[in-house]
Amino acid sequence: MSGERFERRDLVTAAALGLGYLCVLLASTKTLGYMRDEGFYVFCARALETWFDRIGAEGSDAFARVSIDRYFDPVHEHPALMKLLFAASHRLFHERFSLFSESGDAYRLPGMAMGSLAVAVLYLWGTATMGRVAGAVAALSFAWMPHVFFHAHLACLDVAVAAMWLLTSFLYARAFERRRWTRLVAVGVAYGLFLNTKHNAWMFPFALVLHLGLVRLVERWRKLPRTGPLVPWALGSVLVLGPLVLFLTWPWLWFDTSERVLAWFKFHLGHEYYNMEFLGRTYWKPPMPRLYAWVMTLGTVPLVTLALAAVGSFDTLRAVVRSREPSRLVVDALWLVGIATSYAPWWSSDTPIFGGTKHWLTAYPFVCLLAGRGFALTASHVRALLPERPHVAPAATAALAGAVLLGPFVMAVHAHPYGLSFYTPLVGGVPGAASLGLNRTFWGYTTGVLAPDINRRASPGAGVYVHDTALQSFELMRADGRLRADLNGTLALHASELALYHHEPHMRRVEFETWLLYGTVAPVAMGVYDGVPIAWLYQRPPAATQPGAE
Amino acid sequence: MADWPPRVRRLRYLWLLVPALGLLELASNVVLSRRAPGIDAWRAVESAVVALKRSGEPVVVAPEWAEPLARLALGDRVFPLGELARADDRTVPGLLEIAELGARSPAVRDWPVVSEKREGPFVLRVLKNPRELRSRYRFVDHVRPGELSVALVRGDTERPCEFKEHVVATAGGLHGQVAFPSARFQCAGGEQMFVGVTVIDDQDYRPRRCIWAHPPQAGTLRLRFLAVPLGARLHGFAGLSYFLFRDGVGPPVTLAASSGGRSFGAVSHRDESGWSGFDLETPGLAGQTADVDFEIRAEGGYRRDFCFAAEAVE
Repeated sequence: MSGERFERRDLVTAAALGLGYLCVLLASTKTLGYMRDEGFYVFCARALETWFDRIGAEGSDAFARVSIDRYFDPVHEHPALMKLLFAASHRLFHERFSLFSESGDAYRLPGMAMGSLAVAVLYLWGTATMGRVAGAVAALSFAWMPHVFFHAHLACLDVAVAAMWLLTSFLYARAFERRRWTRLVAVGVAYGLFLNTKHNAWMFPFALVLHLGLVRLVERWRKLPRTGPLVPWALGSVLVLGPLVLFLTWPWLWFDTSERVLAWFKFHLGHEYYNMEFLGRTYWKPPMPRLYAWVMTLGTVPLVTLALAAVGSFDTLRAVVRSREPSRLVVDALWLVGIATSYAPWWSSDTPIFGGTKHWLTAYPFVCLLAGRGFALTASHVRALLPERPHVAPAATAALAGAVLLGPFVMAVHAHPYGLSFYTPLVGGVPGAASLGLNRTFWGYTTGVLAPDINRRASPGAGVYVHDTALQSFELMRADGRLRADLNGTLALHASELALYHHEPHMRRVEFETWLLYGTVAPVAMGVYDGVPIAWLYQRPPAATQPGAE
Repeated sequence: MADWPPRVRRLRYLWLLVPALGLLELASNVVLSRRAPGIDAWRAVESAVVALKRSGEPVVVAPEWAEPLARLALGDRVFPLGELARADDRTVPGLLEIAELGARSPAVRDWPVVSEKREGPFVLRVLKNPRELRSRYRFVDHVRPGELSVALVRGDTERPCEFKEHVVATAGGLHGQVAFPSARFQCAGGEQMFVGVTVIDDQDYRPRRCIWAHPPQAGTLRLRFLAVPLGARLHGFAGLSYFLFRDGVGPPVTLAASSGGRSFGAVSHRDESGWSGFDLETPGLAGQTADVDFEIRAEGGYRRDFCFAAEAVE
């Protein structure tokens, strides 16, 4: 079914959902401080903007090795696509057309657009396979996952790579059965861009091989007719066109290609370990907790979405065992494999944890598609309970959709702008998670919450100790007028008048340093989320003593 | 399904659990998000806390994650650094527990409750230490000239460390040094070679106020506390910043205590042990006043950010 053409109204609805989500993201971005990684990506984007200038000034010389090495070198352990889009967006929408008054909004636009793309694709794929309402439930369940809503604002790669995994899977499903050149090219190009988004894409071919094996196995077991050729052409397109597109669109690989590809692999396969609090313990070296991904999923994804996905998975397994729907087998297996592959690294206790839930964000679109399946099944049973009158069934379906989407919507809105600090009622909400010892925040972005206090308290030209906020992120806040232009972000505590602290247990030593140097243990302002301290601000008293030496 | 028994047919209503779950989760989220007291509630409890707070009896907050809010609202008067970053609870006579959400502080849950009072969303409990060690002298409170002399000792050579009061205090951030205070006995050999009071992080990343005593690469760092009223033993803790040294990269640090050439014993500390306790008997000296030497050494150690706290206890 996913191989058929879409009706015009579905395309319009998908576009409306995507654009609507983009508008919500744009409207809510101002209160969200800049993450560490955003600071680094903006640094990369600025280098690429200079490269754009060189193209204008020097033409083909800008593509020479010396130029490529210079402008594509920053953070070259991640590929170029999103960084190029951040740069282009800033150059066009902030500098040239002044569509955004804040440069940060322009840098964030491509990331938001990718989140919106995911919402639109989810609607289309869900509609094609389960009907319009189920498609909408799948799309909005994704949009209103609180951690997805947070990540979808950012000039980062995580929602983008989730969107690309979804899009490439969608195109693969459409190209699976028949040899249509346009579709084969589309899936190959999409995979190339997926590869150029983030290294999660390395796992995709393995997922497709697993998927193909699973489909053929079930077909043989259930004596179903084979769908498409034994090995789909689409797989060949992914394996051949994908790397080619990656090479063409990531200039860093044009020189010393094999060394740079190897270095790319080596960096991510040997990634250093970061500190992460989990159930009251800070992990910083293997063995990392195997339960991490599962508990964090349970603790951050609305339970109703997970329950629908569980119902949907049950329905899918039942369909595989009982029915003879080959096209559903191809699609549903792709969803299940998408989830399994995204979570696969977390079976190993050697996998470093450094970004919380974003690591397996690529699974969430497929979880939501299964939630759409669960919704469709639930809706059919709920409708059967009601009298057969006109309007009753549509009203019941709408009410059911409201009941399963209202909670996630409220939670996503409530999570803003703390985002990563959000936890679901299953773990007791934010206070419950704090009591359980789950990570409260990381990435230093909660400076955004404290910006008004910093602006109000700092004396002219004051130094502000940024703690976990990247200096580039602090500068972006300053450039955008969120922080006063006269303030100086610093990593030298002794040279500061105000000091930020973003709470993680292993970082408390920074707070202790502040106590000693400022002569006080009392913060002057605090970002408090549901009664839980997340980030706070110290101010050096006029004549700070050294309390430790008293 | 129509011909199924009524009991089985009723199971179809279980499908309504799905929307019910959605609405229940929504309601739970609203309730949970409003449960924990915010800054205003903490500020409102200040007078009640101040009335119950006794000097030398620290304030603890349950759950522990709410403590920064308490510090913001109640300030240094309620949370003096010496109490907040105490070495342990054994030598405090009692505590004031401020509890919210029905929580209790696990470490003192079994302490007898002297009084209990509800104030808004909080419960204020005065707790008595059932196993108090009576402290006669807390060394960390006497790191100043006239009460302490410091020297680097190598063989027969002694190099005194000069007390300086207004050195620029510095700190290294997450991966750097702990705070180096402005008042310290500065020794030769680099900025880190001093004796002064700082705060390090223990194995639970909690604060521990202690005497920084970085040993030299060769020889011994000697701290001589003058006229110390002694008890039956020295009770103490030692450690290095756990975050920096939890992987155990350096040689052990040895701390030896003595008085007038009479040894009380020595303890050897390994980096990865974190903040670990020791007890050294001072037999026959209880009730007497004497000078006490602490000698710290770590053979071949390049960076030995050693810190200790000790008390003479009855």
